[in-house]
This record gives sequence, structure tokens and C-alpha cells, in this order.
Amino acid sequence: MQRSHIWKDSYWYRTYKTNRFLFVFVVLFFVCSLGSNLIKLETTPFFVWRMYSAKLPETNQYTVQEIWYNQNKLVVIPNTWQESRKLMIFDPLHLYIHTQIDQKGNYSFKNYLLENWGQRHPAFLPVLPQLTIQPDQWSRFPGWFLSYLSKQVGEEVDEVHVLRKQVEYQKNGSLRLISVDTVLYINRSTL
Amino acid sequence: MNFELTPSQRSLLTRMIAGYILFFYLLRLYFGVTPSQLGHPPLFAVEMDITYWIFQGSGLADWLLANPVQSISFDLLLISSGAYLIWKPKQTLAILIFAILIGLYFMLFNSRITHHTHAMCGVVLILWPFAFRNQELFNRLWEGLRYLTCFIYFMSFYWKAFIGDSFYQFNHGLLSVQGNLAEYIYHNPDNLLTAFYQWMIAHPTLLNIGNTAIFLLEGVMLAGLFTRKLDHYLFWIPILVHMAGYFFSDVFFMEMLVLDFTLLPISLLSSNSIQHHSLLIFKLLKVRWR
Repeated sequence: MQRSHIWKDSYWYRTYKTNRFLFVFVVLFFVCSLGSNLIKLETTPFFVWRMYSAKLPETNQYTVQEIWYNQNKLVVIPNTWQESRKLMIFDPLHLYIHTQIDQKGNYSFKNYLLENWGQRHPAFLPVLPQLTIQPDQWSRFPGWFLSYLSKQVGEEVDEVHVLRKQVEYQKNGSLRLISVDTVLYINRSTL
Repeated sequence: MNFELTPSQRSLLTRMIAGYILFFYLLRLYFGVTPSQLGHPPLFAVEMDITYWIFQGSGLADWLLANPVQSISFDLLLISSGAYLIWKPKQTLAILIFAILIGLYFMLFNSRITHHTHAMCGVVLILWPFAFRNQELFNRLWEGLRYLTCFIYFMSFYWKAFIGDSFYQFNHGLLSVQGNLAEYIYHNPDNLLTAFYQWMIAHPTLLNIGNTAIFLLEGVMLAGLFTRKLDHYLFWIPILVHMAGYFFSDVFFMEMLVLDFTLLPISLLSSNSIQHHSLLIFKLLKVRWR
């Protein structure tokens, strides 16, 4: 008797009684959400909740990337609540440096999509180029970055250099600079 | 047990949620990261997400960003539909427009920063139940969203404990703080918060225990899949998790807290109750001011 009350009070039973299509939709949504996590493949809106789940490398050395503009001005976004701004400035720049400079133009996602995934699913081959960044888009990036940064810092930016600094934590928690490299230089006059 | 929201409670919720989402969108507008201010970024990333493939392949993203007419109209329509909902919370057409535009913005932003972040996932999901006029359908979907909220946080724990194994890395807390805050500490060596972080790094036990406690709290959300009696307590877990993320991992997940509205006890969602609580807060503030 009590068991039947528990079942009749349950969310699933009440949803089924409300509307069978809704019940099927809700069940499918939960199955897809769980399935996406189990197969580790995200398909919006079935999100994979893997943040901070990977073990971190045992190190006390880290990389800090700095953007300097108009020779001696540093881009600093000090507050976490401005994260969206930071993401829009730093993340595309990071992809550009990683692909065009560190990997010398070797765009790993395009290679994987065209040479690996595309070969296994040939029906998709015609649309795959639209899903990857094309050479003209890579070459448009420095110009876009200068104009977007100009809006963000509120002045005309004519040149940018990006520094990659290697830093190390000391026992008291402070940071020591180990090395500095200039990884990118953009000048408006050379674009 | 009562699971049903009345139409007036639903209206109150619509206003609160539309206001919450709109506030964060206006913040994004202020930071220059909404479509009207991006100026057609050339780089993008769709990753292995089929929904992004369709979005990018359809040409909609580039169409929206290529021309100021489209991108400014997008921002205006999104903001006005959200604002209209605060005024007229029962307008399902406005909800539908707001929900679709927020979903498009989510994909536009993530694809153009070339990195698929999850901070706006809750915002993308939460508006859909309100698009149904039928009160009973709304109630079932709203309740389903509450289960999804518990599922999300539990899944986050499950990943750490059973898939990625970070739960068993005892110094994960220290390594996470060191990695995420290196830039902040390097650029702000002399302020009070840096001094606090440096003290924590020098005494990592607290960080590691705190990190494990946050992981376990995410696991506790499993209880919400079986009972609603703990909602008063579960409500605080996402807040604690994201506040810890804010201060110790330099990540801003406050938009995700919109899902916490699903854990608000139904009894709190009445105008009398809101008035009572506002009065209480006002009285407390008055005492402090004195």
C-alpha cells in the first residue's frame, strides 16, 4: 500500500499521467544527458560536466601570458567577474598563437576532422570545411584583434606584443620569474 | 506534498529569472562581449558538438556578426524581450524569443572565444518550461529542471570520483589554486587578496581539505534526486561551489546559479513571503546602518 503511494507520488508517474509525450521527452532528455556524460561526448544541450575532473600535473611552474599594447601598456583584467571579457580577448589569441606559432600552422582539429573523422563518415566530407578555420580567416585575425582590443582598452591600438612568461612558486607562495619569450608581434602598419 | 506552482507564483518566478538573466547579459554588454560589439571575429571553434556544427554550418553565426544591422538588432531584441518579460511575465511569445536568442548567444559566444564554457548552461535551459502556457505541463517541466539541477552537480562529482579521478589526488586543491591564480598573483603581488592566497599556498592542507569538501558537497546533491525535503539545504550547495570557484579557481559561474531557483521552496514563492523577507533584510540593514 505504502509502496503504491510512493510510486504515485513520484515525478515519473505524475509526468506520465500529465502528458505521455512530455513523459517520453523528459525520459529522453535524461537518458541523453546521462549518455553524453558516459560516452564523454557533448551535444548541446546535453552537457558533459567534466570540469576539474582531470588530475593536475605535479608542478610549481606555470605560464603567464601578457598582452602589451602601444609599446608599454599591459592588458590587465583583475576581477573574476570580468571573465567574459578576458575570454574574448585571451582565448582566440591563445588559439592563434598555439596553431600558427607553436604548431607552425598545423591546425590539429582540421587535420582530425578531414583526415580521420571525415574518412570514417564520408557523407559529411562536403560540409566539413565550413566547420574549420580557413587560411583567409587565420590571416584576418591580427587585424580583428587590434580593432577589438582598441574597443576594449578605449584607445587606438597600433601594435601588440605578446609575452609568455615562465614563473615558479616559492615556498612562501610568492612567484619568481624564470624566463620571458616574445611569442607574437602585431603592427598595424604591416598588416 | 505540494509540488504545484500557482500561476501567480509562476509569474513571480518568470520576473525573477528574466531579471537575473538580463542583469548578466547587460553586464556582458558593458564588457563588450555581445554580438553588436564583437566586430565579426574570424576564429571560431565548433569542437565535436553536432549542435555547433549545425549552427556554424547554417551560416547564421557569420550572418549575425558580419553586419552591424543584424548584430545590433540581435542585442536590442534580446534585451527588450527580457525586459518585456519582467513587465508582462505571462507572454509566452516573449519567453520563446528570449529563450531562443539566449541559446543562440550562448553558442555564438562559446564558438567565438574558441572554447566551449559551461557558465551559461543553466540560462540556456531554464526558460523553456515557461514557454508552455499549460500550467500542468509547466509544473512538470519545472520539477524536471529541479531534478536536472541535482543531476548536474552530482554528475560533476561522479566525473571527479569515477571517471577523471581528480577526487583521489590529495593535493588537487593546491595545484588548482596555483595554476588558476598564477596570473592574478603575478600581476597583483602586493594586495591583500594575494597575501591571503600566498598564505594558503604556503599552508596547503586547508586548500586540499576545502577542495575535497566542495567535491563531496557536489556528491550530496544526489539526495535531491530522491527527496525534496532537503531542498532548504541543497539550495546552498551550488552557491558554495561557485563561490569557492570564484575565489580559488578564478572562474565566474554566477550565471549557472540561475538553476538554483528550482530548489527554492515553493512556500517562499509568494508575494507575501517575498514582502516578509524583503522587510526582514531591510530591518537587518537598518540595524547595521545604525
